[in-house]
Amino acid sequence: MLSSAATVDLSPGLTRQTASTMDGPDPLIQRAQGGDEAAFNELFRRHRGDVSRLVHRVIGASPDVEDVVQDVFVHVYRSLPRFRGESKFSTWLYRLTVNVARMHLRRGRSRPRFVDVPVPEGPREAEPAETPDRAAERAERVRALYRLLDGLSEKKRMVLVLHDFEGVPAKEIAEMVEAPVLTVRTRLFYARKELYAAIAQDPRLGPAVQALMETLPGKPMTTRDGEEGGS
Amino acid sequence: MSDHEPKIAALLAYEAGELSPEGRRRVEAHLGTCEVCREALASMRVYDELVRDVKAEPVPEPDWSRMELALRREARRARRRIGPAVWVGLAAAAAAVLAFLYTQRGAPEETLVEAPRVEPGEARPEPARLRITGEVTAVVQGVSGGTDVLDPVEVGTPVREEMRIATASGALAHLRFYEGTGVVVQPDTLVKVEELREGRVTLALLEGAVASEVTPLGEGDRYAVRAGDYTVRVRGTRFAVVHGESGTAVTVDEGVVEVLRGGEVVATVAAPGIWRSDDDVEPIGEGQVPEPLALAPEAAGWPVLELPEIDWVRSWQVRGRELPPGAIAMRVPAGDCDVSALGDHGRSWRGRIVLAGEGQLLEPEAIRPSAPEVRVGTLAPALIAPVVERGKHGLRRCQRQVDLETGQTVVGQFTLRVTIGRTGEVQRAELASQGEPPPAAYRECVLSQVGNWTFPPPTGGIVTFEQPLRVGTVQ
Repeated sequence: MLSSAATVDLSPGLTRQTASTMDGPDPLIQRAQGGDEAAFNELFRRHRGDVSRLVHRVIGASPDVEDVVQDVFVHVYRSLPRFRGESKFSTWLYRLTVNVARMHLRRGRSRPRFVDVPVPEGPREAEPAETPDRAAERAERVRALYRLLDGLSEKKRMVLVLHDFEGVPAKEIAEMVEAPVLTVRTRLFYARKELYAAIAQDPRLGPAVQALMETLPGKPMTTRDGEEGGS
Repeated sequence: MSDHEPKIAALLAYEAGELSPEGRRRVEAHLGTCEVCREALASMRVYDELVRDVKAEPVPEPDWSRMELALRREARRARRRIGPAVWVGLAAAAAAVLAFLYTQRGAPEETLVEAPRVEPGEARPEPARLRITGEVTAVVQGVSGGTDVLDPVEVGTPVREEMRIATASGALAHLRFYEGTGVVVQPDTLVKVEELREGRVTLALLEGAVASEVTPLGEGDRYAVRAGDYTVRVRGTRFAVVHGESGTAVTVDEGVVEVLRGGEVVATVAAPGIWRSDDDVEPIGEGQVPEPLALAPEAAGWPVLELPEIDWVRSWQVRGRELPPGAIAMRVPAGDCDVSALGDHGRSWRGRIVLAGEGQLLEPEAIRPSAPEVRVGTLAPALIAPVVERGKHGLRRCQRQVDLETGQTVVGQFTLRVTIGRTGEVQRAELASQGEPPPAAYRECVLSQVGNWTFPPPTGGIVTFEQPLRVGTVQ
């Protein structure tokens, strides 16, 4: 695992290596490229948590997460000799992860299935306890959101997940998806716009929108005969 | 609601507190009269809440030990198929070029990337051959490719020199190199297009299987598949090469191929014929070498037919050609196209689609099977018990194997649920648990064992039974 000194928690977002370990040739990567299995194993241990979380965020809670993560590292193993250090290793790795996850989503339009997924028990350390009901409710809302994500194009979905769920800056996403930063921002804007509309129409999430509308500033005044007036 | 488009950009700025007091007042005044924007703003806030939910959602910890095992297997395979990767820096007067080379075990008998080769006795080199670009004409399930990071491959993806294609389990890719010549990349395969020039194609098969169709070649033309120490060279034929840990095998369905090793011809295989380097390697059967799709020159302009993955479909038929189950995208000629889906127990669907323009995606909802013939039958417990008893030995082996390979001791009470098909075959098996789920490797092993059990055929239809399994030291 990365030592705490060598990581920066970009919470909410990726835990990435600091510049001191990212810039310049990383001896560990070089050793792994030369076929040193111990070095590759160390790379695997360092990055598996981030890869696993990214896959989980892209495809949603699914029994397939594990297989996709494994596919990612098999691809890493095969492609590592061709990593030329032109981008940060983490960018290269996340780009590969995104591509493998995209392939998974594309494969048979195999959208996330939400059955038999083990839900970790108990709250995380130092967090206020959450009742099982609230956790289940939250999980249900997240499932509803992921169903709506299925309606977005792959490109918009990737940008949205990386930016909004993972906290990756647009510039870095642009490198990962090989598109200009402006394109990334455009995709993000339209992805959100489509999602806002879909959330309002969704039978699970729509009622929350309707309830919230009542509390918004500029709430229309309702006259006694039912006509609306400006606030 | 009206047709008014919500002012998303203004609302985002409002939410981010980026507006002047006057701007805020204007937005709030608008909100008072615009239901559409009020709804959009409420949706934005719900979305922000959902993003917080996503971030708070715990990510289940995968079974890393299973993954480490898989990566070790991958490393073993890689050691067998590829030597260490080397970067070769070539300093030329004009430019410096970095080339990445795979060094296969033993020296390759032919120069694969450089173009003209001077044959012994020849006074002049062959004329340089122009690079050409092929195309992916059909994909089934997950296919990736590229020269660096593997990107998803789809119909229409150009195929060029240095491109690698990787297929997942159950996936296929059909490639057209030029008129009448192409290849089917079989499941679980990694292949590299080393040379793709006029009249010259060389594929490096790193693992898996490829089936080639090659139009008769002209003088000096060459089509070759390199697989480990061997090179399979043809002059116009349909053939398949399988390459893996246990060796290399060649199946020829049309024409003649030469198998070379170290520049020497070690076998000449004529159709129908099979050659293999080792007895263990499993070749593609005679007469079963698949034909690549859409090799006609005009195929690049054909529309794309997309078929979805559907649970009950066991195979597809498109224009009389049988294809495996799964999501498929393929080029087909414009016009009427007959498509059938075949499932178990006589379930099927047939349809005719008129393809035009870019193509058409067949929605899963459009494909409804004819009435399924799933009937529940009977099978006496006395006939089930002996099969289960015989199979228990294999299940105990699974426990030991997982223990040895992963160091995990399997303990627990599980329920094995088995569905026996009409001919006594195991149609479906599940391993359930009331408590801690069984380790993935154990589950995989048990289900694979159970899949091989054979029962007496039930009477009247399928039968499902449950068998409790008690593993390890459970009180």
